[in-house]
Amino acid sequence: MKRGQYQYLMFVYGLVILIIALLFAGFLFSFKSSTDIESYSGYSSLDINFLNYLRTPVFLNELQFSMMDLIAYSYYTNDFTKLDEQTRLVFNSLYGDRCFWQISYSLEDTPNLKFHIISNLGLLSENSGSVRAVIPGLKGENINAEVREKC
Amino acid sequence: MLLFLVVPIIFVSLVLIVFLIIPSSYAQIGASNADHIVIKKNLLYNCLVYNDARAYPGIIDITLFNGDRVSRCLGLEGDSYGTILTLNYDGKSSEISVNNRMADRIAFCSSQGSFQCSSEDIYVMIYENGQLKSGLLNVKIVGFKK
Repeated sequence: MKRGQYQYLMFVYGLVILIIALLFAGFLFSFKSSTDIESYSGYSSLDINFLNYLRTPVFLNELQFSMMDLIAYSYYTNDFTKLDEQTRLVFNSLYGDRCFWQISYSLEDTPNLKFHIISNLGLLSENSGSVRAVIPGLKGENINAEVREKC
Repeated sequence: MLLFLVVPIIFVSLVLIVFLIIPSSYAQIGASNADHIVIKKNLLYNCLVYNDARAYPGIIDITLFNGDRVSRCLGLEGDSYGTILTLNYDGKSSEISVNNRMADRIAFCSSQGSFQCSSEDIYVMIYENGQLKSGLLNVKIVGFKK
């Protein structure tokens, strides 16, 4: 092969590689990392809402307890009527019809096995905002309480 | 033959450095609404918080719920941000506004203008006369778009 032909071949080869590299770069650029804080603003106070939900005073047999106590008591007696009623009172007053909300309870040892779920409109997916707390039960067990919201 | 491998390796290396490694080292963070979150957190974790020996985030001390104190605490003035706080509890409703110069412009939020606004209801506990009561705090914030 003559020297001129060889250089021409190398130039064309280089050009082809450059085009492939630029296409590859365009592909990589489509995965550019971007995080928008605005997208988190919808549930920025969910932690406070949930904290205060657990603190909410509840009257049971004319004695004052907190919602946290009621969760432990409801699990112990397996009667969730009062818990349902009080939880709906809190979250319906907070969200109205604007948002979906869901609270689920499970034992810490078996987090995927929810023993009770309260929600306003069906179950929410994993990608909704969530906050979790661990509540001590009456028999030494730990209860996971998790709230989810989607507005 | 070796030359045929060297050229692509150089190109691919350059592409990786220029388009992947360098941009990922400064990932883009859109913080346009972060300031509103900071104001809300400041209110609920600091300015309005009930404290005895320790602070209780999310519990509002009703004696701290006054315009002058919250204004001083948030330090908002001039063309920065305006805030309107409405507290509903026990059948009562009280409202305070912080930095009236901006808070008065909240009416412009409904139009697509140069203002960035947010409004959120937060479930709070109110400490009044030694008792905890539940209530709703509505926080409206208005500021200029950036």
